Amino acid sequence: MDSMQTLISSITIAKPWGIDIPNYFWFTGSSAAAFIISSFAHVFGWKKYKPIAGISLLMAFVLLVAAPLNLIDDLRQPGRILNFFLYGWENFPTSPMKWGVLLLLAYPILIFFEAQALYRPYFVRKAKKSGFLGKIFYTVMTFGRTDLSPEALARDHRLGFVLGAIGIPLALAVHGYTGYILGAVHANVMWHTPLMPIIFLASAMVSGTGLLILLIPFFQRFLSDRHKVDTDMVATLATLLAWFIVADLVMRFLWLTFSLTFADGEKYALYSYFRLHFMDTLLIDYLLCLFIPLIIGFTRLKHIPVVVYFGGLVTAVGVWIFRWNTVIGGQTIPRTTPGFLRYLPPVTGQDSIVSMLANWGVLIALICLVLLIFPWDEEMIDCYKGAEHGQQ
Amino acid sequence: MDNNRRKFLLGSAAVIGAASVAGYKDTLRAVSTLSDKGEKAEDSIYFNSPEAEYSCLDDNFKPNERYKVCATACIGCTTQCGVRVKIDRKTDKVVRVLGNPYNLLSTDPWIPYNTPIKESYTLLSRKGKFETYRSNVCARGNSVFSKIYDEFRVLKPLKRVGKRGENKWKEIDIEQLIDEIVEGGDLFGEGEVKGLKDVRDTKTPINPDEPVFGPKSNGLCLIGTTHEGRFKTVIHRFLKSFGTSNFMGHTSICGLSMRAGEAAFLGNFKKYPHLKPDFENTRYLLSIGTPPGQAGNPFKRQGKLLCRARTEGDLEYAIVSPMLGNSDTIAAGSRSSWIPIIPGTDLAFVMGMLQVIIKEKLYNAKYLAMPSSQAMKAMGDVSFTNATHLVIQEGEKTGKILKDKDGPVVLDAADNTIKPAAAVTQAVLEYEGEVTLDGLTYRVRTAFSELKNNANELSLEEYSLECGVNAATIIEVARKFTSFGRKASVDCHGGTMHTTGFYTSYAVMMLGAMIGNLNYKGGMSPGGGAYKDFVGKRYNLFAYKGKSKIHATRIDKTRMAYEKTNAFKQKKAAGENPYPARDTWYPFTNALESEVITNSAKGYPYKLDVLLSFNSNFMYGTCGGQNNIEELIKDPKKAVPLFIAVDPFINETSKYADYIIPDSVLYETWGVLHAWAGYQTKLNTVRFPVIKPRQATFANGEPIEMLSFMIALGKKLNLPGFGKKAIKGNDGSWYPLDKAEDIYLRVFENIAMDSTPVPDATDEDITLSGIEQWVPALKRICGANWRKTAYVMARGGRFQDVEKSYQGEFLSRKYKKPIQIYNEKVATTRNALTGEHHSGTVRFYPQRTVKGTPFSKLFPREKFPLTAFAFKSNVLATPDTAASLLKEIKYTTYIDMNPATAKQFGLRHGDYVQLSSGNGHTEGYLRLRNGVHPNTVGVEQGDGRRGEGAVDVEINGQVKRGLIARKTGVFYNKIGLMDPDRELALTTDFVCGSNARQAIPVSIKKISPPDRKA
Amino acid sequence: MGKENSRRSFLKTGLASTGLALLASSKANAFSLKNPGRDARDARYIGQKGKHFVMVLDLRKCIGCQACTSVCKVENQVPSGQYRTFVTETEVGVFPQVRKAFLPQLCNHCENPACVPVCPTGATFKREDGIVVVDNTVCWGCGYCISACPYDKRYFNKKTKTADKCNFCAQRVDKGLMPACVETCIGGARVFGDINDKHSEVARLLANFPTTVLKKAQGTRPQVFYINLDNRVTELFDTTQDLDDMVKAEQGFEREWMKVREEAINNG
Ligand SMILES: Nc1nc2c(c(=O)[nH]1)N[C@H]1C(S)=C(S)[C@@H](COP(=O)(O)OP(=O)(O)OC[C@H]3O[C@@H](n4cnc5c(=O)[nH]c(N)nc54)[C@H](O)[C@@H]3O)O[C@H]1N2
Ligand SMILES: Nc1nc2c(c(=O)[nH]1)N[C@H]1C(S)=C(S)[C@@H](COP(=O)(O)OP(=O)(O)OC[C@H]3O[C@@H](n4cnc5c(=O)[nH]c(N)nc54)[C@H](O)[C@@H]3O)O[C@H]1N2
Ligand code: SF4
Ligand code: SF4
Ligand code: SF4
Ligand code: SF4
Ligand code: SF4
Ligand SMILES: [Mo]
Repeated sequence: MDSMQTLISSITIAKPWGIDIPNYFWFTGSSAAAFIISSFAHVFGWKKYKPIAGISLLMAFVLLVAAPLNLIDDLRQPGRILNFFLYGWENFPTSPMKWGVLLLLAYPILIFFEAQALYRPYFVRKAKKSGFLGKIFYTVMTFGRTDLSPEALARDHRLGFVLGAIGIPLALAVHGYTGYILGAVHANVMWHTPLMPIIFLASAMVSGTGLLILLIPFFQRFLSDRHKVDTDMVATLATLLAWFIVADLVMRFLWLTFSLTFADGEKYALYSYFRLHFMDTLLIDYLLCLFIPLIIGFTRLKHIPVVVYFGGLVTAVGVWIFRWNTVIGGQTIPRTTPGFLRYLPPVTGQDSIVSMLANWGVLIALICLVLLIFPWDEEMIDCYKGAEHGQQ
Repeated sequence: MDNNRRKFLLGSAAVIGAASVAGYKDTLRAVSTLSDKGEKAEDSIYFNSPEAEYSCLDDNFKPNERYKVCATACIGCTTQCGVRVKIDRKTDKVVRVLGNPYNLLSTDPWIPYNTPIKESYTLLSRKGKFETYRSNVCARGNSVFSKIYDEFRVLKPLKRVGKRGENKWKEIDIEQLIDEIVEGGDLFGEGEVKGLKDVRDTKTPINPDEPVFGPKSNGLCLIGTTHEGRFKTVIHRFLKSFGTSNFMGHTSICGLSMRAGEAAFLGNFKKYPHLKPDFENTRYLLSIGTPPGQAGNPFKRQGKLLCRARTEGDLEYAIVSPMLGNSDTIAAGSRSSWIPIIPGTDLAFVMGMLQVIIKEKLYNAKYLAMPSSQAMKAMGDVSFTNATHLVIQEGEKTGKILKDKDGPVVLDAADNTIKPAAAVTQAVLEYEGEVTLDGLTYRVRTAFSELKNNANELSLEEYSLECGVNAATIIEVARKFTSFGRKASVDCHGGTMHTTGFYTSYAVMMLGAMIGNLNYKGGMSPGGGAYKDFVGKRYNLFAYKGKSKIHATRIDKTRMAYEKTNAFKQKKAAGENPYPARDTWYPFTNALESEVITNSAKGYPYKLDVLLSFNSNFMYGTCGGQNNIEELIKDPKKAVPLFIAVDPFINETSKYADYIIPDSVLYETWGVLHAWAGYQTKLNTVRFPVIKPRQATFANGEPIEMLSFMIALGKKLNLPGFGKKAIKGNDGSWYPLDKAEDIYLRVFENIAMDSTPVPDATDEDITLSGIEQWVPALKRICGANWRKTAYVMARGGRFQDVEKSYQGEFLSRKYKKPIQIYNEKVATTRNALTGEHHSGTVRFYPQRTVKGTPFSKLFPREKFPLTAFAFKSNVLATPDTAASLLKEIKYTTYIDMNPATAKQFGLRHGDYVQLSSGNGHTEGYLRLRNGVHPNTVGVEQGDGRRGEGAVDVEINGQVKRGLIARKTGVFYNKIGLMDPDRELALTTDFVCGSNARQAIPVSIKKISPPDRKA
Repeated sequence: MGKENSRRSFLKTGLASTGLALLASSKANAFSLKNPGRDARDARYIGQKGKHFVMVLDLRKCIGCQACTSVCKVENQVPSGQYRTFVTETEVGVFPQVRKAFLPQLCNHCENPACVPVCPTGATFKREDGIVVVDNTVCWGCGYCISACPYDKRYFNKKTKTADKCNFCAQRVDKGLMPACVETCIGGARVFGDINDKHSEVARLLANFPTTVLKKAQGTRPQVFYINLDNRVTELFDTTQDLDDMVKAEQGFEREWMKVREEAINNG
């Protein structure tokens, strides 16, 4: 308390980015992860992931369609969205936001085409089976290519491969750019590190895997005709998750050790921040949300689905908290005014808890629609058939 | 997928999707319609900033027709700076406030008075001489206009409907109001109330046993605030005409200790002059209890001069205060220093310094040895003292100065013989013994020896122990102070508002006498004075037909000695000890607002019939008011049978009124102002309504405010000096007084015509200063002189040029009377409670009651371990609470404590605590800071309000909720003390009666914070 | 008015504004590298030729009176609770070795601003005379510039809902006057002028006194220079807590405050 400086008078400045932004980061990150996992099968041809590749791709798609709503909602003048496209191009090289938005547009289109290629045969078949409306719809979805010949299927496959291959860097870029947005802000001691895109990617893989661990078994059990969970797959994902956690921890270790020890004078503000937030960060973000899933993935616990689901849940939540701690926490560090800020999201209105929940609602609605439209369960069952065949 | 699941998915998608879209409603609407949110700014780059009032590009001056810019005065605090107000012509609303470059309170150096208005603008442009003439307005001055538009402003006359203090009102007609207060009657269903008509009895004595108490008309008393420009014109006229001697400003709660102490030093209890350092040129400033830049008068000018002197000049300064004020900054390096002191002990510090100065002979002996103005002239000096005058030590004349028929006599240093002071150039400074004058032998001591004696009463170590400043520092400061010749200065003010403040101020000034700094450049200045305004070339505005002269005892027992009363004479005649009197008397104090209510309650000297308050807030501003006076004022039977407040706000005081008459605010008002000390040239700032007053009007269209109310009341009561033939021209003609302008434009004319009359205003001057609307009235009232009067109005007053400040090493305007090393008037006055004479020169006293009981005995350390003090806010000022914009700059106030002390008490930064004195308590959040003396608590003044929008008000049955933003903060004065040795009275300085707000012993404890949400 | 009506008018305005926006954008060079105002060489966007405005803060002349804070809010109609400038007041050291410290802060009009290059709409830019401004008709309120400013000198204007900050009172400077805070600075600490003019007071001060800028390491090259700035005063994150925030929250008045202050401003 014998502080060398006692404050008499100052002001506290409000910061621009609220709850929408960590949510946005979480969505794009999880999308990237889902895309990468789908690419395990589509691009790298890892058979093990074949049955979930389709659904993962679809999840990557919906997450990314829902994500930008966060951004738009965070804008104070969302009605001026055109201005983004019309003006300010001279800042293209220096504003990650400028190119980030372009990536944001390109990426879901790409996924959509990849999914279309993947599911085209199913659409063709569906179109044949369906009634009048369904027929029109599915025919449209085939993009007019109703050919089911092996050559055509091979072309689909190739197209899927090519798009997937392009998609991988794009997915990395889409999420990496969000890290870039923060990392480029040299004004913020917490954000300003070239590692930020990679840290974001690593934690994105964690959250995305966590999310799939929750969603896929749910879809399998309740929404597909298979009616049962592929527990082996769950275990596989648990281990995958654990490896991603390792990568995440390594990145965070590098980040924190550097910025807390070797950074310039500004690191003292970071000291103060972690002194204030030591317990909550350590206990929740690290111990509960990372170390526990890590242990699950590397031990026999991964064979107990419920435990894995729990692990998936805490990592998904944990990464959300990490995004929050980074975006909000980073903004609470004062720059030229004394004392840390406090941010409590408003309950309603723009950039509020309600708007974040609305975003989750949009996601769920989109999931429902995509599950309805895309014949993912048929494709999955086919894969399992193939896989089980292959095994025997 | 089966159909159920499909339906489920479809349903979910629809429901959740719809709900979510609803959650994003606003955003999506904006996006889909590409429409903007928020309010469109006035300009794409300039946002909502109003256009500039003029432009000055490439030497091209162009006024902006949208605005008028008028010169007037700020009354955001008692400094009363001349400012210019930018007003939107269309809406008649204030847009911004700028400094007036002609006025030295806002500008230094100020532009030559004969500068055309146009040039006064161009000079302040980037191309002009901005750096020289930068003219400014302080944080308050910039924001204070928002109180004009405050929702809590009273715009119509109010009459209370509930009990006093319940804050329930109904709006009534001004004519009805005047009828009621004049006629009296059962006005509130609480019994008969005496109306002003009956109170105005100038014949019957108010107390038949005491003719010196005067007639019954003294039953009316007015409590005002500072001299804000309306008192001398109409208010004073009304009161005199009514026949009361009871009018007072706020000096007794403001800085009376300082004013009285300096008046004693300067030997003038009539005019109460006071001194200020010549900030510009002083080499060393010792400021005791009034850190310049933190507050003080003139706030802004002092701050500015301090900054310049410490940066461009060679000023060094030390601030003696329990709190590190804004005088200091780390950027000033060693130029600035802080001497932390225990509140209420400065007298010990200064007596210690005097001891060192005398012991080490650091004083200017030649200067002090000059006994008379003749000697002064002979020595080429500009002031002199009575240090060598001889004080009689024995007999009838004890305490008097030895005089022959022509005046004081002294011992000539040349031959050690008694001679008239006028005939001696150098007199003996130190002498104690016998002298013979006109055949009589007297035991005498020089005034200086008297001082020396007192200074040596305690040892330096004892002084040091009292004040907590170590002896080495006292010696160092004494040596330093005396090492700059005449170019060192002293100052004191609010820090002396405690029970020994009178002698403290006197002693602080005494330091100046040791080096002879009065009237010297870089020394002490009495201020530059003013052009003749009320009594001038054209009119004598104090004169009117039928003016009566009332000799009476004032309700506060000032300007009168106990010894003049029958009670004294009778006891004396009966051979009894006439002491103690029933209560204190203050023969050389001018006014004591803080004694009015208590005196009326105890009926000594008498009870009041009507209290009129004018912009006064003694319930908030008086230390001990809220906790000790409230009961007295709440009950109409106790002290104030009829209470009329003239105020634009319902403050802590007018809350208890029976009637409230709205008043104009700031730039809506008339006024003629002088400056407090702290300047060297003549100055009259004038004020006239530059925006239309917002409140209701009289039938004749005049806004209801203090002046129109006084005029209406004066006419109603048929008082001399109102209505026809009320204003006297020096040419013998008479003029009516119906409106404020009748008197003010004439004061302005007097000012314009004084000495060499000012030039005529040009048409351009008139349009550029926005006074076109006054031209008809000017022509009507000032006739041939109208352009001269307009010249003054266009410039916001009349100001002597800066070059007139000095004559060589001396100030141009000098204080002429002798400095009183020993004040005979003080020495021959007795404490009415003990019968003891006051000390004729400075002497150490600890904090005490009027009778002399030391605080240390009344408030033992074990029970009251801390000493509380108040300090003025650098941003807030008490009359500005209704200026909402100011809250943007400083939201709340705290109880400040040193971290080391907090540790001892187990308290932490941000704890909610209660301070308790013997008589009251107050609460607030604790703020730890290193800039306060350990074992003290300091409170910034100006917050913790219970009026002016802080509490609920009911008007015509409708409740307006009080604002937390006005209630927040600490209401310091709730800890004020009662004097246990007096009948119903607050603690005061024991000599001059000023309200003691500093150095209050308190205890502290942590309590739970208030739940204001409920 | 019925629901129907309002819905229709909503649709209408929607269509109209979409149309207008498209029209406007196609007219005012769509796909501008900068923004339309700059392309049109509007004087407010370009600034004054050949000048380079800077401010010098001579801390020896600052008494922490907040006159600057106060006038800035009035002159620029800054919404309640928001500030373009503020003077931080602290006490440095431990009793009795304590000093007062004041730090007047405002946008530094950086030579290499961190806020400008990140703006995705070109709404904020540096004028040719050095003043960094925001075009409130273009800004889409993304907040990137606010995050990017190392000095916390930007905020979302509550009224216009766009980024806002000190613009050196361009509305006055462009008319040949001084910024409001400079005009009203009591101690004379704030000195403003054209550094290209060798006779200006700023040039004189910069030539005669050593000056410092805030957070030099950020590489932003601030154009607000401080005389006698003590290091410790720039590291404020370790001071005691600003109790004002706590008191405002605890007393639950935050809302009321907004209301009152907004009224005051609107009335004023
Ligand atoms: N604890 C403590 N107590 C103090 C002080 C302190 O420093 N600490 N300071 C003392 C000093 S120095 C003084 S001078 C007194 C001040 O005490 P007072 O002079 O009694 O009161 P003020 O609060 O200055 O203002 C008087 C009232 O005038 C009204 N008013 C405000 N603005 C206007 C206006 O524009 N026009 C009109 N017509 N009326 C207006 C308001 O209702 C306001 O309450 O307080 C003293 N009390
Ligand atoms: N900013 C601002 N300026 C103002 C005003 C305002 O409200 N705000 N009000 C105006 C008015 S009405 C007046 S009267 C003047 C008054 O101006 P000042 O006299 O300068 O102000 P106060 O705060 O009354 O004076 C008290 C100062 O003395 C210190 N002090 C308290 N007790 C003691 C003590 O026992 N000994 C010593 N040595 N110091 C002590 C306090 O720390 C405080 O700084 O200011 C005027 N100017
Ligand atoms: S010091 Fe400030 S508040 Fe006081 S009169 Fe001057 S400008 Fe107004
Ligand atoms: S201070 Fe901040 S807002 Fe101002 S120019 Fe520099 S980076 Fe931009
Ligand atoms: S908030 Fe406005 S000015 Fe700032 S970066 Fe975004 S678009 Fe540009
Ligand atoms: S230059 Fe203008 S906008 Fe900037 S801080 Fe000063 S007054 Fe405010
Ligand atoms: S107005 Fe000038 S002296 Fe006052 S706080 Fe601002 S910079 Fe400092
Ligand atoms: Mo005062």
